[in-house]
Amino acid sequence: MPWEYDDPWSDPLGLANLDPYLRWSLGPGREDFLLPRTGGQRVPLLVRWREKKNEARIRDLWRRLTGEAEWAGRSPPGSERFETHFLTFREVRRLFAEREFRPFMREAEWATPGPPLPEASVTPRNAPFRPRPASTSGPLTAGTVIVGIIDDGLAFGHERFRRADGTTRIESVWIQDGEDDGRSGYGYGCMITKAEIDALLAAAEQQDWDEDEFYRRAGVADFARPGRKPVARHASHGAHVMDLACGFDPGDTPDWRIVGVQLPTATTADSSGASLAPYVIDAVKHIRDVALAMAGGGRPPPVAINFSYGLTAGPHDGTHEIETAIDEIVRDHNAVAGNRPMRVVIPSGNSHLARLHTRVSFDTLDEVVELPWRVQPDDLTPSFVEIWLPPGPDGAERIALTIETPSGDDSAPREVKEGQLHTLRYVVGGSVLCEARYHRAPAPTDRGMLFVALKPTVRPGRAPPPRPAAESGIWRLRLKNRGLQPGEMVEAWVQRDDAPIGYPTRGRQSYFDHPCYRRYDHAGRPIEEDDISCIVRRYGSINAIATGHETIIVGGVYRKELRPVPYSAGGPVTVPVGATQVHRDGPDALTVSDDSAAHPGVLGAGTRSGSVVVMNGTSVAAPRITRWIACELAAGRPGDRDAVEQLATAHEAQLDPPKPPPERGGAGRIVLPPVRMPRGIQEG
Amino acid sequence: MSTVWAGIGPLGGVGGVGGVGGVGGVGGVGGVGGVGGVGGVGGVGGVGGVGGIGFDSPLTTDALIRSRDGIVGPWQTIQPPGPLAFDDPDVMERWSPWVRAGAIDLEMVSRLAVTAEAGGANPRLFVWHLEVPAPVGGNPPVPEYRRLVAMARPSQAIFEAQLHFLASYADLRPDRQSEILTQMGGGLAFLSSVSYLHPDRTPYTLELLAAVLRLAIVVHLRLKQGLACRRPVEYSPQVQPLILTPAHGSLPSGHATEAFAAALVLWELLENSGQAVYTDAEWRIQLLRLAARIAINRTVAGVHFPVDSAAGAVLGLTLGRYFVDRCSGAATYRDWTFDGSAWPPGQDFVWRDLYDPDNQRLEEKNFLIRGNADQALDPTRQSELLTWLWNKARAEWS
Repeated sequence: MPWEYDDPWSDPLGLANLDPYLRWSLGPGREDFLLPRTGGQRVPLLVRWREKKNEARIRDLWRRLTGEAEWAGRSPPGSERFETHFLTFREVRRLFAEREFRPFMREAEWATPGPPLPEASVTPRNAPFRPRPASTSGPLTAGTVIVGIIDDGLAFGHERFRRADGTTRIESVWIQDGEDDGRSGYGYGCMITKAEIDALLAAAEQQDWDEDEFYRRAGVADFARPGRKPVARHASHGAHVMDLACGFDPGDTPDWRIVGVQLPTATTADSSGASLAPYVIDAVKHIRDVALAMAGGGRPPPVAINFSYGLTAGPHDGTHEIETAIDEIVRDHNAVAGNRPMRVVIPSGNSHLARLHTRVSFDTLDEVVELPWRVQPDDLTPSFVEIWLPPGPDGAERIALTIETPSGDDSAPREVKEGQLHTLRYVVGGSVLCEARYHRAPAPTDRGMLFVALKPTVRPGRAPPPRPAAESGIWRLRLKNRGLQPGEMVEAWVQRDDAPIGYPTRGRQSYFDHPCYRRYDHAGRPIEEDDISCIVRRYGSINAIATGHETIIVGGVYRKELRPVPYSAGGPVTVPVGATQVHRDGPDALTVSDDSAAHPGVLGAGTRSGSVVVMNGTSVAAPRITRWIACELAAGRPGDRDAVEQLATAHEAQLDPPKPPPERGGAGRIVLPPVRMPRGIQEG
Repeated sequence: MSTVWAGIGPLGGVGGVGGVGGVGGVGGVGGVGGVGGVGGVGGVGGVGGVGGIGFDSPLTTDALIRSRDGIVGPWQTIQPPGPLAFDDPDVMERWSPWVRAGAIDLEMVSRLAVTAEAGGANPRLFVWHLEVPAPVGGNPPVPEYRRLVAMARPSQAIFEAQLHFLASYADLRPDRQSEILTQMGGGLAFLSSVSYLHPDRTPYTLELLAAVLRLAIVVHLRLKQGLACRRPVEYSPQVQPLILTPAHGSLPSGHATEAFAAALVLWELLENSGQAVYTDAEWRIQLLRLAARIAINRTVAGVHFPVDSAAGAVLGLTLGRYFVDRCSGAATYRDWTFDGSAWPPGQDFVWRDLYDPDNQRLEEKNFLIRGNADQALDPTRQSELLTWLWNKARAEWS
């Protein structure tokens, strides 16, 4: 029988709190983690240092690991609470496997990798950072607002982001996977500044370049270079979202200055399980830094950041590393006397009907509940499930997991128990195809999780012998109660595994395929309410980075029918350890993500000036709220969670019932004037 | 892309050697015109059905026999019309479009010759214009050969270096699929969306564009034959084009040749119409962008290298200009050499690098060489037939 316990190589130091995705990536998941056919590459490692950090000691360790001598022009490791450092794969492995680096993880609460970048995108060791380019957008005014856009395929030449005089309102764009120019302040990617965009726009005007040529010259759509070029397509997620957040016809523009960050989705679109956390956190910090720099020591302008992105698996209690980091960055910034507010808006997610969530409780000891996990054939990327346990002391053994493969290979009696340090593995031909382990997430999560990782179900490699792939079909995850009380909830989520808009489908989304779950009613309508006798749940499918404290979370509603769109995900949110009640039920509010059931999506900019395309999802609802917040901030009002909820309450009072339940709709529906003309609706 | 329908696209409908029938059965116009339908066949059936009646159907002909029989009456003599003018271009108006196309094609093709210089390190194909002096006393005229285009192919190494463009442009396939499929027969529908072409409104313009497309087709197909460049699909099993790779050579791109030639003729027509609005360079630039997009779409589809598009653009712009010069009685034309062996291997196709739309000329490069002096045309020997069609088309825009 190919189920076995491993000899825990990756845990010689007893690092039970090591990020399970990091352990997978360093071990069996390595081949899917590294960029294919890319010679030199660097792995970003996001580190959360403890409050009291031993800087000299960390620096010394870092020098030993990397040979880095000086940190000229940049902050050395251990200077900030959340930091991303780029290492070679080998260095990451050494850091966690070798005894001499053990103190590192004592100083760090948490470390998680992001998808790697090609070496050329990362500032070389010991090379000083170049100064961040000076602002050329002119003095700040009372109405200046910084709108930060963290997205993919930013159309920075588009006329919707220009002033009346033809110059851009974009302060800068940081292309995180661009060829390193040392100017981002974070040691990777390249900056495109307002001055550079203006020069390109002027040249385009003078020399009759079209926008194909503009973006080719800007280096983001040059087909002589490798990599995806989202802005070369007629539509991109980023262009649409940015238009809804801060697009205006030229001549009609408030003093909103745009700081764009283009995530490395172009090189890392294949979902390997490694989240974009290191990149996202740096993006938020970078936008903050640009705002501070623009103030030149004076009072920085208010900042409204839109981040339309989502994950599906996580603790869902506000303690995902992206959530804790954004909360802390926002709180710290807003706590500085004299700073004007910084807000971050995130969509509630599109997974309400995606069958990615189960909720299990046990009535009796030794009761077994089966989670049937349907893994699709032709999935070129790994798949993951996170099974989160209720609070309890580390080392308890309240639950055990056994796994049966689609063809009936059952791991029992081998199992993974809460508190267990060994890993359960399914090994075929020397290859680990499935791995399950217990992970104790450190504070502030401070809960246990059973983590299941599965290899891709197809291996298209050309060299014989063919590398083994995981079986597709239903993997049966069986949970056995060894000590949970009735009413204590075990909640599982499948991790996101589908392709972003505009990318080829490599990952295929797995889901819980339980006979108890009914998708459609007798008339063929999708059922949006849960049958609480079924373990597979719609409620609780909220975006796993949308349960934070500071972030403003937005779901979707139809403009015409005024009911939540079927895919718009919501709570409940899990009560964090140490709290007595939740800090949010779900999103803060809903706003329009679709004009009507017959006209899905809303209009917004395509990548080219003058082009308009349809896109839907809570991703396009969020930026409508970002736009409202920017107006509020410009007027000197707070534009915070409370303000959004008050707005929803006010709008809700004017709308026909029913008010959506708070888990899905927060304080209610918000129907703001559309950015672009809605379809299928009689105006007036 | 066969010679018959290449390049003409959904709007010209017909195309081909006979065809032209610009008016033809095509999209929407349908039987109404009555002339329509058929087209391609060389118009023979030409008259096709008005709403299903059919002029030459057995039913109609039987009815016509009976009808004449009933009303013909005793034979009488009346004064007939006089003879038509001899070799007068205005008589062209009387003929079916496909008949005119025959005459126009001979005017064009009888003045062209192609030669090859196989020797040396860099074999080239030459396209010559035959300047034909006035014949005297029934003696055969002795044409003088003047260079129009010379073309050398890129080395194998250059094509290999260009192959990565096929991989990177393939990312755009889902985005461009409908354009690629619609443009398989040419881009006339797209030209019609930039300028107001319509079979009822601009029949002579469509006829003129069909004429330049046929000129482009015979020349590029001859050059493709001679230069014999392999298609991308032969270099790698992973190109996997989204359409069938056409069974002719890769360089020059036929789509680029046709699109740029038609674009140039169209904007020249607009600019010469006397309508001030059309002198705005934006018309020209938009047509050039469109032609470039049509060319690039062929790389996205997986059937052309960027250098093919460049060669096609140069060829199309040279032929288009030559066509306009011959139609409009110009005293000179300009010849160009495209030396594919000097194309920078990693260079993408960027139309703006090849052509200056403000001064309306190709840009000299080490791979793109202008003739030493402009070639002379004798305006007294200009083709009256071409000029007739040109003027008819031009009048549609005034």
